[in-house]
Amino acid sequence: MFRNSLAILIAGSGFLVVSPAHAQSHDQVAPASAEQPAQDTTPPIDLPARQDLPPAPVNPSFVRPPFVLTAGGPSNWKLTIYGFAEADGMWDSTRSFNDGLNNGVIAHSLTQAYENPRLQTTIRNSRLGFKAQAPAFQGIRSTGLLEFDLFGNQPSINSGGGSPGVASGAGATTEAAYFNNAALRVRHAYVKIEDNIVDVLVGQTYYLLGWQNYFFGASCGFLGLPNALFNRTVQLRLSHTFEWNPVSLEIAAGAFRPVQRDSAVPDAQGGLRLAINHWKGITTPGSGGTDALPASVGVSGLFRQFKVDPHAPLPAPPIPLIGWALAFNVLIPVIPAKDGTDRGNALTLTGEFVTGTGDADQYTGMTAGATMPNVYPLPPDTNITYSGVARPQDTNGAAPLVGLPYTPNVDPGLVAFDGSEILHTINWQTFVLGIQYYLPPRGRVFATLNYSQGKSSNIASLFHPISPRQPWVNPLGVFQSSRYIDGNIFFDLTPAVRTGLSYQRVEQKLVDDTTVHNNRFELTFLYFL
Amino acid sequence: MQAHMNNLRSSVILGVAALLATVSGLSCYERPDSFQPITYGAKPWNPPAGWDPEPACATGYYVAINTCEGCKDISYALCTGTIFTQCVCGGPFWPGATCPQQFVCAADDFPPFNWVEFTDYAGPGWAGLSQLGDAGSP
Repeated sequence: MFRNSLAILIAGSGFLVVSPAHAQSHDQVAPASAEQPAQDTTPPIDLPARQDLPPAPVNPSFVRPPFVLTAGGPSNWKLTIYGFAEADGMWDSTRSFNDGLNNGVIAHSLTQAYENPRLQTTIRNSRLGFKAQAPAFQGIRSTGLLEFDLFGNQPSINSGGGSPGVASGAGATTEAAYFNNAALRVRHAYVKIEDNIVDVLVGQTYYLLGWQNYFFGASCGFLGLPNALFNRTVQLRLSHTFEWNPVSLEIAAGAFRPVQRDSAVPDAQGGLRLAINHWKGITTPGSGGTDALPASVGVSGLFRQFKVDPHAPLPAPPIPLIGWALAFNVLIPVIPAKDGTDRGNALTLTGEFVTGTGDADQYTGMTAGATMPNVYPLPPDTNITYSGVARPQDTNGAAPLVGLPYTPNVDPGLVAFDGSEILHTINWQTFVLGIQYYLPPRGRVFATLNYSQGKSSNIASLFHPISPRQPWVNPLGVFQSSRYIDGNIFFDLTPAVRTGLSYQRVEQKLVDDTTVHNNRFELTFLYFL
Repeated sequence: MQAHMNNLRSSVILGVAALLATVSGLSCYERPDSFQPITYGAKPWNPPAGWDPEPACATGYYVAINTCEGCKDISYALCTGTIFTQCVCGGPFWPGATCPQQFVCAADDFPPFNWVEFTDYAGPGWAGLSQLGDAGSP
């Protein structure tokens, strides 16, 4: 009854309480679609392959049967081919970004790049995946998965206005080669072994922190959205889902590729996720993979160690530091749905809050411009040019290292030296809110909104230009806080074709207290295999 | 009953895994604000009254001193950032090492590897102002 009145539902926060009951009533009508096997939830959302055909889909027109090759007598060896072809065009008000906004730094307002716009077209977000499933053997189910996109490693573009922190030079490439000859990149590559006791996943897939990709927002913008957890790495993950109808609890823990290999210990992540199985909301992680997922609350954590070579003559004892993060996530089906095809007048909220330190790699492309030193400390009275180049010095003593290249043994954006050469982890606190509304009558058109915010409590003090002997510090290219908002309209032209139009705005406060922003308009077309 | 036992077993397995992961991390834990030695054996150091090297130093420079606690003969004040905040006892000779200016060095009096003498300073706290041991004028 009240599915026809969006305004009433949005206005009444108390509706959150009654929604589960509403969803349950639907499940009583179609119980066959209410249960999903626990093994289908790792990674939390099936990668955007075609979903299995629901027994009684509300809107059969949304159903895209999977491309499955079978082999063996009973045809129980399966290879599913999935993915999508995607074409995007994006106009930016500045020349700060490539095709993905992610967490790049906006050019300073004093630059040519800030004053002029940019237009890009790209197919790099296209995707192809293969999922192999062997028949169960002595109760053990196994899956192998390989998935690729076209964001492979490529040199920087050596033309146009340039991007902050990216030097042009011999290692650069042309715009034409960058976009037309996009290189393959592996996204997921893992083996998953499941039985009734524990599920084991070994290989590369999403991080556990934030229970990726369950709580992702829907946007035309390439994930991860600014200030949102989004990344993948190699891991060994153990998990188990306790099914207590109507709720289930998933517990998972794992050892992950160390953020710094010289730390010599793996990162550790763990988490709990509680789901209310009969209260489902329609959600689209990114721009594809629309499905109905149970209301859920997740908590997850990260613990890691750094051992960074000091910014001083070596050999010297590596500096040990601890990095950690704590994430809280929620998915609320405000107007629930029965199954993944029941999209008309469905409304879903997603939320994420993260606090941590030394955890910037959990966000896509997140360095905030925080560079590590590239030279050893400079001698007293060193003349430094405007571009940060020191004049070579004649010094007494044997084998002086001052002014010579210094190679940090950790990725940028995670830790930083202060003016006294004391190493600190960089703190970040972020949150993301997302709304997805699938318009009646069938949900072929849906609108989404995302807002995010991030702030570092110590990056401004670490990268403020206090010392002329820190030429690697570029206060014009480091941000201390960031805000992002987008609005998106999607239209499913056919069950296989989706288009989207998006407005995205990023605003950043740089460490010199300058505020800069970038406006982006994006048009996207997808064909789902 | 079987399902209950399976759940129990999986809880134990996951619990042990989480514990191992946590312990492996904590075993290496040091407080982020703990002292960060700039070279092997370095200790915190407070300069004596009147210590005032000019111009400001840079990391990688040392001044020969004799006030580093626990050291005999020559020791070294080490510059971190722009001031001297750490010290280290003299160490054994290494290829290419030279004695601090105007000093006579014993086999265990040499500065840390790759550090450079801050030659502009000869004021209070400098080892050359005293006549201890084998430190001082040649």
